[in-house]
Amino acid sequence: MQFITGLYSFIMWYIIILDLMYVLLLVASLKSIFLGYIESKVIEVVPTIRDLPLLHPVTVIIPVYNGEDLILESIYSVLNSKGHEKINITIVNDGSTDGTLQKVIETFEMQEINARITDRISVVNKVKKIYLAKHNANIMLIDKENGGKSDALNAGLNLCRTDLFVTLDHDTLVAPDAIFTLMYVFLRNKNAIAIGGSLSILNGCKHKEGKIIEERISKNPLCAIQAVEYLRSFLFGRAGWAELKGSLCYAGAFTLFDYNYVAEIGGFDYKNVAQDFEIITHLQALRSEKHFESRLGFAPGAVAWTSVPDTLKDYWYQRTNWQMGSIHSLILHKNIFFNPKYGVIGFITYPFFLLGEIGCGFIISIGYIIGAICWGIDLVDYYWVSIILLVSFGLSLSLSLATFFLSLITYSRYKGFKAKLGLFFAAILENFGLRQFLVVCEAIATVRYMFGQRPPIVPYA
Amino acid sequence: MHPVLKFGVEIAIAEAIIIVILIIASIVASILSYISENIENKRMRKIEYILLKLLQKHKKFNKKLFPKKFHNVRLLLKTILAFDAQRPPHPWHELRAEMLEQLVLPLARKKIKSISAITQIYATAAFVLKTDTKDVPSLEKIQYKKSPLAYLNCCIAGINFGIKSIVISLIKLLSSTSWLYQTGYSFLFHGAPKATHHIVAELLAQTEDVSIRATCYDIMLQFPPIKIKIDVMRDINSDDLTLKLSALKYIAYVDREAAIPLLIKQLASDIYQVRLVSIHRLYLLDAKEAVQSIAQCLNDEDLSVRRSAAKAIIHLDKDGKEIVRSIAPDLNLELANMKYVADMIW
Repeated sequence: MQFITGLYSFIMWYIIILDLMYVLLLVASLKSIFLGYIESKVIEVVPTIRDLPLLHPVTVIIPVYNGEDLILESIYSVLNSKGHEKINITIVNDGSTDGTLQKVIETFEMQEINARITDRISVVNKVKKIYLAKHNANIMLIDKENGGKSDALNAGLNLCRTDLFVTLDHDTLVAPDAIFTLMYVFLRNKNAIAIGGSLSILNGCKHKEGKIIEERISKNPLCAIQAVEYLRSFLFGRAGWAELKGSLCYAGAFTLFDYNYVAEIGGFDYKNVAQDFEIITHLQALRSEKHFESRLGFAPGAVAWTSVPDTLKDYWYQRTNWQMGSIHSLILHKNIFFNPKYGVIGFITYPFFLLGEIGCGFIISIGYIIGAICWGIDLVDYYWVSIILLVSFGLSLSLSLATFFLSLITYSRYKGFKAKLGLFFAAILENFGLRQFLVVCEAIATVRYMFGQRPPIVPYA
Repeated sequence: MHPVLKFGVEIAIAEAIIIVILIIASIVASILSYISENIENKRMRKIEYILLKLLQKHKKFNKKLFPKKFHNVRLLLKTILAFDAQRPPHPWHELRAEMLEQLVLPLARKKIKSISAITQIYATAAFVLKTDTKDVPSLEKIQYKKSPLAYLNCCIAGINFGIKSIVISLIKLLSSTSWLYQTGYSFLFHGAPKATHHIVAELLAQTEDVSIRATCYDIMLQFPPIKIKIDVMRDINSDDLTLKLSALKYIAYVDREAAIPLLIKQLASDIYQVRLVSIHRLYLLDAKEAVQSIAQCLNDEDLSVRRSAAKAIIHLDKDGKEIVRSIAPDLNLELANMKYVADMIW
């Protein structure tokens, strides 16, 4: 019994400490969210800033594998961007077996060119051909052998001629001012080396030729719940870590980087499907090791809409890959753990990600298993279990509602009463089923990783 | 009860209270945001109505027509900008000036002293539209580190109205940070009045600081060409790449005759950025005499240099395509004659 009580106490403390960390993140994020929001309101009344062109050339790299459904929409959304004349688009076809390559070639009348690309960053799988759009020399296409998203991004980087680049997923549409906003935040942050953008859910939205016509919450409950999750993650999660100078992960689907720093660390990790996690961790490590003043910032107002899994099977697959990729990244940079050289990252962020974000599923699942065993042998204390469940539900529900409230008073992505109501109910529904599903998924992924299984490099999850 | 369990109960109760508060706050926030948006729109329409009436009757601005509820800098600025966008009839500019002088600026002068960064931001936004000499000391006090956006507004005001101290402090700030950072702010000088041109030209003539000189050259590209008495050659021969490139661009911009032979000479530079800028400037200057020299860059080791050279030759010489084909047969001519990313950079 003492052992069981001790276990209950441990789980309770675990959840409470997790609670406090998220509250800390929420509080830390408030300044940047409000300031960023107010800035966007001020820009409305200062035409000199509002009418500024894109201030510096940038390359948008879009790696794609079997993405014929949305690749054109993604490219059009960049072409619709403010300052598009200064945006160079590099699509990297990573050995697609569907009609992606043909579709892009035909739509933009691409012609093969003889371009000598650098080998500054190692690319594992061969680049076959390079194309340039006939009527728009800002659009290039690299056709290469299949090698995974990281490899595709690295190939794109070898062709990049600008000092800044943006990674964009093929199923992601950017808002017209999103790249401008990323650039603006980058230029405003002294010594910035990366600025993370904010993601919203594309599923359910009405869009045409790269433009979002109506932003809606999907009727699919899984997608609606992910809308809440993304809102939580991007409205206060990323902003909070950026404010604490402890970011370890930005959305690979939409982030601006300084090319020179990424090239210095050898580009994206070929062997990791969570290359977005790994690259930010690596950049942070570089900062600390070389002692240079630099910042990884976040722009909550720079919005892109991305597709999310709409079936449990795809959701499981995606989250499994993310979990394994994240564990791999943390192990790769294990020297950061409680290392004073890395400051906040070493003492707060890394342990939190290890024991909180990534470890949570594993720890809670152990709690479920032990709870089930105790129930089986009639040793369960229902009072303890009820309180633990209440505390856990209370934590996630209050965070979701806090995010919902923040989104109402600042960056209100979802206009209209129906959308807001949908978001509200999704925030509640999230805690009854999907969260538990995710916990189990992450736990199994962790165990599989411990037994030597690795996520396949190829898929774009 | 076990102390941890007791603590857990307290946490659960606290969370329940927070959840209830958040639900109520969300409902209230939704209602309030709906109401405030409506109120703001209503007030904007009312102000527009008053202004239209004054315009139609050709009357002067009268502050008494605007009750206290309209005394909001953001609201007034938004209305003015909306009016500007509609291109209202002629008396608008006089009325606008009077409105700024009598209503908006007095409010902004009070607000600029506020410790709140947000209030300062809106106050400084008003000075972007109009600034008096007496406002300069207040604007000079705004510092970048404390409020970057308010500082940006002050810079715009300083550039728009030729406030020497602000312009010089901005140039010094730009020159001391990375050139990437520079790009954002140097564009603010586009369309600046002559007074600001003279401030920059004067600083360029006086300073020895390499970074400040480079920044001044880049800013001068935003103005109509002004030839000033400075030793540009010294800067073109500088070891500092940024200064070198800025000086090259400047001389190409202001003195075609002197620039062309200089740029042709720079085509042999071992720094690819210098070759690229030189080709691009020769292309912009329509320097037909440079075709043979540029042709030597068709087999350059750098992709952007090769492409820019091909484009320049095709533009400068009617037989340009043949020239390119004979020297660089692998270069795709149809695609060469298009804007390339290199043009965007340089």
